[in-house]
Amino acid sequence: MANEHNDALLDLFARECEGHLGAIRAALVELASADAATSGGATARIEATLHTLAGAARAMELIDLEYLCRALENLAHAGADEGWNAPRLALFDAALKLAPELLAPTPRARNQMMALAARCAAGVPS
Amino acid sequence: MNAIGPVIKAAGALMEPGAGDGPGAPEEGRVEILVVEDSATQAQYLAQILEQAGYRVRLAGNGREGLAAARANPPTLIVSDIAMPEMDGFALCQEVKRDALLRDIPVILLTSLSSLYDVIKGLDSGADNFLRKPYDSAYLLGRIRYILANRALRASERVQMGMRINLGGQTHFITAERQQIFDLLISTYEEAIQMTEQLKAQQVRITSSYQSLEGLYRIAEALNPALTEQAVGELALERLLDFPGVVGASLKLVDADGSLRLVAVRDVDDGLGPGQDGAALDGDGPRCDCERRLMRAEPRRPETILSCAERGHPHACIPLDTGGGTRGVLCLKTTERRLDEEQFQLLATVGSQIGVAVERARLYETMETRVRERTAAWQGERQLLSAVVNTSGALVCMVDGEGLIRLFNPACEAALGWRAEEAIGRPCGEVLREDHGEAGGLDAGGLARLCSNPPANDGPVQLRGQWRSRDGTLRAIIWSATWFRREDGAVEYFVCTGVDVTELRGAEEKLRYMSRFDALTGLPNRLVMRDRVRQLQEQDGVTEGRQQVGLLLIKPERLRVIAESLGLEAEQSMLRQAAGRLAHRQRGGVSVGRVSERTFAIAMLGRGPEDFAGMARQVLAELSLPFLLGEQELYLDPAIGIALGPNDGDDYDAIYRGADAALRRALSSKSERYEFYRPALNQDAHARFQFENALRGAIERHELVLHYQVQTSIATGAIIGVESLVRWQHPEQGLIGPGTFIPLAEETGMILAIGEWVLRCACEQAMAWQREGLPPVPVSVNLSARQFSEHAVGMVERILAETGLAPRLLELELTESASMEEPEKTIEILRQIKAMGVKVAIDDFGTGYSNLSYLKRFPLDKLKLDQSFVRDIVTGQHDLSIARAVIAMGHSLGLTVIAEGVEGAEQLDLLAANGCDEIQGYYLSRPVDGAACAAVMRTHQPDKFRR
Repeated sequence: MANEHNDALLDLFARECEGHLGAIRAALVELASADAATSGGATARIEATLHTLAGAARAMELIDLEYLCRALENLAHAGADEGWNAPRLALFDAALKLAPELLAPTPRARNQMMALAARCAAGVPS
Repeated sequence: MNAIGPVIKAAGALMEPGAGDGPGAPEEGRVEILVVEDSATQAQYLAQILEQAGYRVRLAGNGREGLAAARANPPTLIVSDIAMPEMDGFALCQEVKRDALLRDIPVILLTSLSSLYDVIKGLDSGADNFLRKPYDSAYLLGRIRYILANRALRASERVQMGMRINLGGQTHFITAERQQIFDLLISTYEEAIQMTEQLKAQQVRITSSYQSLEGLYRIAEALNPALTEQAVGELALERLLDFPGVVGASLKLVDADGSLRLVAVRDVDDGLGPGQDGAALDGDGPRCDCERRLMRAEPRRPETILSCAERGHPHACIPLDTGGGTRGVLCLKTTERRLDEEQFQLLATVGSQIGVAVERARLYETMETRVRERTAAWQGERQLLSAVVNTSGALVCMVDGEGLIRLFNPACEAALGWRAEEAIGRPCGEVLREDHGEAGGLDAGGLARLCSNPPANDGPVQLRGQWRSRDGTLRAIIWSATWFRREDGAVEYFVCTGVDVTELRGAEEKLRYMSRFDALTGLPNRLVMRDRVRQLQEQDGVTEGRQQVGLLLIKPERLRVIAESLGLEAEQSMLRQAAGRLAHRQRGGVSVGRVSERTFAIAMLGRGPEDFAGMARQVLAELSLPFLLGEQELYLDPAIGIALGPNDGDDYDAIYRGADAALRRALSSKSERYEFYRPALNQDAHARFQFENALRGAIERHELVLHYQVQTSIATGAIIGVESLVRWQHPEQGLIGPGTFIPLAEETGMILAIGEWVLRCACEQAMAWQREGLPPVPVSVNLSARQFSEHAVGMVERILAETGLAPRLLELELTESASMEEPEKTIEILRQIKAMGVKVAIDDFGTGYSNLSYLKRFPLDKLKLDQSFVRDIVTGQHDLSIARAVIAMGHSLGLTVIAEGVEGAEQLDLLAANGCDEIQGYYLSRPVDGAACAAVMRTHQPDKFRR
C-alpha cells in the first residue's frame, strides 16, 4: 500500500503527479482549440503522460490512480480516432480534478473514480 | 480485476491455451502422457484434465514405476511430481535423459518452486519444463501443447551447455540444453506474471473488503444517533456512498398502507452532475422490476441486476429486513463491476441495520408522540387541577413525609399570611401554628402532630381550631387532613384542605349579637331579658323566698308624638339617649333592655316593693330630665309598670303581662308615673314614696328634733352623760322614732344630712346646757353605719370647732354591727376620733356578731349592753348570764359597761350586783327635749340611784 512508502517518496510522487496532470491540462487546452489535423500530437502527449503516470502510480501501489489513468488512456486513444468533443473533454476535466485525491483515496473518492472509469469505459457519443 | 487484463494478454500470447488444435484433435489422440504422481487424487485430477483435452494418459505411482512404464512403452510426454517415494521426479528425469531410448521424451516437473535448488536440480536433471502447483488447467494444457509443438526442434537442437553456478555459497555444475534453459525461463516468467496478477487481485479484494468493513462500521456509527426516519435515511445514504462500487442510493420505506415512500436519495458527485448518464433521481413507489420483486418477497437477499433496464444503470436492491418483515428497500446504484458475494452479505447486514434503525426511529417517534400526547394531557390535567386549587376558596396545603410543605395555594396565602414560595419547603409546624389561647399558648398544632404521627387508619381527620397567621391575627380554620402512603406503608403526602371560617364566625357572632341585642341602642332585647329574668328566678334569694324578681317596663310616652312630629330620626335619637341614661344601671343583678319598639325594661332582684319602687323613682327622675335634639329640649314623659315574680307570675311572660298592665295604668294615671301590678303594692309604695319625700323636707322644715336621756353611775348615782336621740315631728303622723325613718334615711342617703344635723344639734345643746350652768357631762350621738367613714372624722372635727364643745364632752356611739362591717377601717377611723379626745362607745352590744379579736383592737371607752338583755334580766336567767358575760368581757377589755333600758330598781340592783358601771333608761328618765333634760339634770337625786 501507499503508506508503506516513505513520506519523501510520496512527496516526490505528488510533485511528479502534479507535473503530469499540468502537462495533460495544457494538452487538453491545446486540443480544445485545435483542429483535427493538429490534434494528433497533443493526444499522443496525453497518452504518453498518462502511461507514465499510471506506471508511477503502480510503483507507489496507488492502484486507484493507476486504474483511472488506464481508463483515461483508453478514452484518449479513442479521442484520437473519434475526435475530442465536449463530453470527452468534460470527462477528462472531472478526472483531472479527482486525480490528486487518489494520492490518499477516501472510500468516496474511490467510488467516484469507479464511476468516472465506468463512464470512460462506456465511451462518449461522437 | 478484469480491467487489468491487457497486461495478461500481452504475456499470455506466448502460451495462449487456444493456440494450436483444439482438444480431442486427432494429433492429441496419438499423444500419450505418462503421469507420475504418488497422490492418487492428484494423479486422477491431472489425468481427467488431460483426457478431457483428448490425450491418452497412463499413471505411475512414483519415479521407479514411471521409469519402468516409460521403458516398457515410451510415452509422448511425461508429467511428474517431484517429491515421491523410492524415486523422486529429479531422479526420474535424470534416468529418462540418460536413457538413449527415452531421452527425447519431454519431462514436465510439477513443483512448488519453494526453492532455487528446485531450478538447479531441474536443469541438472534435464527437465524440459516446470509447472507450479497448484496449476491452472489452461496453463497446463497450453504448456503441454507448446512443448509438443517444439518437440522436433528440441530433438534436433541438442546443444549441451556446461554452467557453473554459485548459489548460497555453494558451487553447482549444471549441464543443460539451451532450449531447456529457455523453456524454463519462459515458464518461470509466466509463473511470476500469474503470481503478480493474483497478488493484485488480492490487493483489490483486500482494499474492497476494508472499504466494505469500514463502510459497515461507519453506517452503524452513523445510525446510532438517528432518531427519525428521515435522519436514518439521509445518514445511511451518506455513508453508503463510501461503500465500494456504490455511486448512488435511494431509500424507500413501506408505509402503513403498504406503499413505498421515498425517504432519501443520493447520487455520488462525480464532477459531472447527477443524471447525465440517465441515472434519474428516484421517486415514490417501486421504480424497477427488482424493487417490485423485492416487495413481493422475491428474492429475499440483495442482488445486482444488470439486466433491469428500467433504471438504465446497474443497481442492487436490498430489503430492509428486521426479522419481522421488510421495512423498505435500499436501492444502490453501482459501477459496472458486479458486487461480489462478500459485499452482498455486507449489504444484507447494512439493510438489516437500516431496517432496525428505521424500526427504532419509528418506535422513538411513536414514543415521542405518546410522550408528547401524554405530557400534554397531563399538563392539561395539571393545569386544570392547578386552576381548581389556585382559584378555590378552600385552603389546600400538601405536606410531604418529612413534614415539609410542598403545596400552598393562594387561599392558604390569604389566610395564613405566608407567600407560597416562602412556605414551600418549610416544616409545616412553622407555618401552621395553632393557638390554644392563654392557657395553651402557640404550638405546631394538630396538623403538625398528625403529620409526625399519622393514625394507622387512612380516614380523613378533621381539625378545628384557631391558627395564628404570620401577622399575628387569629384565623378560625376547619382542616380536613388525609394522607397517601407509599407501598412500604410510609406516608408520602398529607393533603390538608381547610375552610377559613373566621369571617363566618364573625358573622355568626354578629348574627348572635343582633339576635340578642337591639341594634339601635345596643341594649339586650326581649330574648335576653327573658333569659335574665329566668336567671334571676334561679337565684338562691328568690328560691328561698327572701327576694323577688321585679320587671319594670319603661315607656317614654311622648316618643310617639316625637316620631310623628319630628320624624323617625328624632325618635331614634331619643331612644338612644334614653338607653344611655338607663344603661349605667346594668350591673350586678340589674339588667336593662329594650323589649319593644318604645319600651325599655329593667329586671332586678329586690327584697320588697320599696326596692323596685326606689328603682322606678330613680329611673323616672333620670328620664324626666330634658333630652336634646340639636338645641331643642324634649321631654319624654316616662311611665313605668312593675310586676314581681313569683307573686305576679311564675314565668317571664306572665310577669311581663303583669308589668304591661301596670304600665298601661301608669300611662293613664294623672298622678302616678309608676304602678305595681298589684294595687296594694302601689299603695305601700306610694306611702313610702310620700314618707320619703316628707323626710327629705323634714330638715328644711325643722321637723327633726333631738331628745336626750341621762345616764348615771351606779357607784355614785350621779349623772355622767346624756344620750341624744333623734325624733321626727311629722306634721300628720306626729312624733316618729328613729326606727321608722332612719333605715329609709340610710337607704336614700339622707342619713348624711340628718346625721350632721343631729351631731351639730347635740353639741350646741351641750354648750347651751353649759351656758345655763349645768355641770358639763358628755353628750353621746349615734352614728349610723353609712355615716361611719373617713368623712365622719372631718365632720366631727368641724362641728366641734364650730360649736366650741370640748371633744371630751362628746361621745360617739357605733352599733356593734356597723363596727364589724369593715373592722380594719373601723380601727383606723376610731383611732382618729380618739386622737381628737372624743369618746367612743359600742351601742346595742350583744345583738350582733362581734369578732372579739377585732373588738380587742378597737380603741373604745364603753360598751352599751343592749336593752333587750336588760328588759328581762330579773326574770330571765338567760339574759342575766349574757349581761354578766358582757360586763365581764367589757371589764376585761378595760371598758366601762353601761346598761340600756333600765326601767326599775330591781334591774339596777341586779346590774349593780353584777358589776355594771352605768345605767340609762326610763328608771332614770324618759328621753325628753333639751329643756326638760336640763330640768332632769337639775333635779337629779344621786342617792336614789347609787348602789
